[in-house]
Amino acid sequence: MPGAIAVEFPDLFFGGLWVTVQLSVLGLLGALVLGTAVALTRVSPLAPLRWVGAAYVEFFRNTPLVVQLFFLFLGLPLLGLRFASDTFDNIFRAAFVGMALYHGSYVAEVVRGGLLGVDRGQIEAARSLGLSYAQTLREVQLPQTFRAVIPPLGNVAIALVKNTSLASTIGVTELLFGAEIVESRTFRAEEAFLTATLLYLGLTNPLGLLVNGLERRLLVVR
Amino acid sequence: MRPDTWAMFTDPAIWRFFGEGLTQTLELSVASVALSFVVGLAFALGRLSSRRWIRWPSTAYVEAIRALPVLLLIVYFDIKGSSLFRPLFGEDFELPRFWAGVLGLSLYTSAVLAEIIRAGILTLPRGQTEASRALGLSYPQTMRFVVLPQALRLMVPAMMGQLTTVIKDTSLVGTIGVFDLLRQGRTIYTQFFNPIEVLLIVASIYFVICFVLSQLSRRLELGRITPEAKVRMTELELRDQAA
Amino acid sequence: MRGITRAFAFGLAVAFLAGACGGAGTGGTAGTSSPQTTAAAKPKFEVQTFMYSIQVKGKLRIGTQEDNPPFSVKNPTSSKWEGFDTDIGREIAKAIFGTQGDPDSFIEWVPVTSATRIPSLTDNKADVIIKTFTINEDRKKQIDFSDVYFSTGQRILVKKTNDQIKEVVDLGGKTFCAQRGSTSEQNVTKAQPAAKALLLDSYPACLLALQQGQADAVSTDETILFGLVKQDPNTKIVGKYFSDEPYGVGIKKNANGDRNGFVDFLNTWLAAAIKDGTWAKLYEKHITPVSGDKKLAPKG
Repeated sequence: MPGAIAVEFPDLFFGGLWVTVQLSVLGLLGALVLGTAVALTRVSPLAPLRWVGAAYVEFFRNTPLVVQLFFLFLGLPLLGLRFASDTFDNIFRAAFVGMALYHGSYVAEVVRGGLLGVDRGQIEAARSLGLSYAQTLREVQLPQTFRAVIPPLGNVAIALVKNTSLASTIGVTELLFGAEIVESRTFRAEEAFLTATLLYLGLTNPLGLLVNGLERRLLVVR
Repeated sequence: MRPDTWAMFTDPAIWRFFGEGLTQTLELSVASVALSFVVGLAFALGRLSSRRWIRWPSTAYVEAIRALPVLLLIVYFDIKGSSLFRPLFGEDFELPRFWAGVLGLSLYTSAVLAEIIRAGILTLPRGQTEASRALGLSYPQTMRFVVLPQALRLMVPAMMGQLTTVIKDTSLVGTIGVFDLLRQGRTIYTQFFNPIEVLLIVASIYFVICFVLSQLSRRLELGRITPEAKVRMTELELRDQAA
Repeated sequence: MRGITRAFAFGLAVAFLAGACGGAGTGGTAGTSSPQTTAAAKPKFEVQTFMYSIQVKGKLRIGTQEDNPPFSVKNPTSSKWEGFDTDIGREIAKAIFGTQGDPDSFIEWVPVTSATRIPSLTDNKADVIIKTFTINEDRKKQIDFSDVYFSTGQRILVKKTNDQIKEVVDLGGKTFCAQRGSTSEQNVTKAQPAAKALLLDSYPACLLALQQGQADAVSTDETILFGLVKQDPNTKIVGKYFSDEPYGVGIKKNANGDRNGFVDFLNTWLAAAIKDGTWAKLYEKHITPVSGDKKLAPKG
């Protein structure tokens, strides 16, 4: 029976699942903060700021995440930069930073789309009513943006959960890593991978349903 | 920075080595996209079928596969690919790792392409199908001569976008021992101890290819696609971008 | 410039043949070693034996790998095959064809990889496989092996400056790197459950982790560690073997008498080569430069 193997190796499956969840949640938070900040630079009136934002987005979107992870894992220590002195803390944090950087570029595009989606007339009206740039942003632009970006951000979150599996390439003991180890010990590839599959589905499917639900509700409101 | 670590890149042999990796990367991408397109088309039609026993399994396939990490699929085919095909090709059959990579990538990409193609078909006005059927064309004929040519043309930009995703995803096959661009780069930096330089070069090569393709797909998109289809495409792109 | 010179000497020879020049193998004039076999000038075999049919055909097909130093390397500049396994092959050729002339004139080299070793025997593309081929029960079901001609096992690689880690038990609380999915990781954990495993997808990646201090040690088969030490002379191999990897010469199973007498012939030849010092000479020539020790026989 698929899944029974998880009980035989709880450390590798449930421990791995827990690392996947941690990496997903932290990575998503990081990506949201970073992505929103970058999106603001991309709509800022300062041209150099916009260029930096655009360069970040294009670079991280158009290079593979694994390349970025290898760089964080093997490249940075050569420059004297490590996220932690302990090896396992270091690789986990490198993976977290990689998740935030890569998905931050997608978040930035979504948020920018949301910001630009707000009717320019509203912004001008708010400014002419005497609201400052920051006030306009906070009171007028962001609430509308928020509603528009939630469904697409949900999709980024799903991608992020799946992409945490790439952290296994730098030695992070997440779910796919656990399944590979179990396979190498038992040669029960079907069971090991089917179990990992079910656990991943358990994470991504509810998220997918949530996104679809939100999509419908927010569209009705608009 | 250590001064001698860039000097090696003046040697043409190093670039030949990168070139071999890039060739593998491109071959993997093309093979995967070609295979995925055929399979994806079948599942797109399957999902739109009026027969439940076709529609349900097709839907289950597409939704389940899209919810999985592509690396999991690649690793699975690496480990079990040979034994899966032994009943077909005999007891000695060894699935080459290149094809294990192609199968893993294609399994995933076919599900995404199925969604893209289905979205393309759904954005076409229903009237067209009805008119064709009224003119006496059978369902397969309607699909082949009326619906698919338009839907596929409509979806060219989205499919090109998916191609950039596949190119990025091919970087995962290095973990199963296919010598793609990234893996060749890793071979170099494990010999020369210069991961920073090599990874920057590798990233730049991926960047140039993917950036050009994504710009191209954005250009093509303009004026070609309905706003609803555009929303659906963006959503697919966000959810299915892997590595 | 140290990095470049070193890498050209050792590194890319392993990875791609075009890039390297010289120093790829273990040097020397392989193939012209002195006639030390027990065989007479032109050995005589019974008509029904496999050795007789090889003698008639005039070629022995030896399957080995192009980039497996110090066991087998095809030198990119001279196109000559070099290494311990290839010289073992030459000795077998001499035992079949006699000691006159260049043994390479009786040999057809067939490049194989780990995955194609067994198929190239069962599909009759090679007569013998001599390629760091570990004898085990699963493989014995498909092919035959000679007696053990090389015995090795798992050891530990550390930085040269490290004198805390001497044996596998010293890995308690330390981080060691091994390839994911290999038996190496399990062997360490069995011997020292308190060791922490950093599991990556290749040994060169482990070497980088070791250099950067992300791992305290790398552990796997000694033969792989030899290659890593060659790559980075600031590392050393320590400790006793804590697993057993016996290599044998692989041959096709004798079906309908098509390999008559071959296993016995190989074992007789091997015993003689150990007895007369040929084996020890090959060890000294190919293995001593990387291992620093000398041996007289596979076990011992």
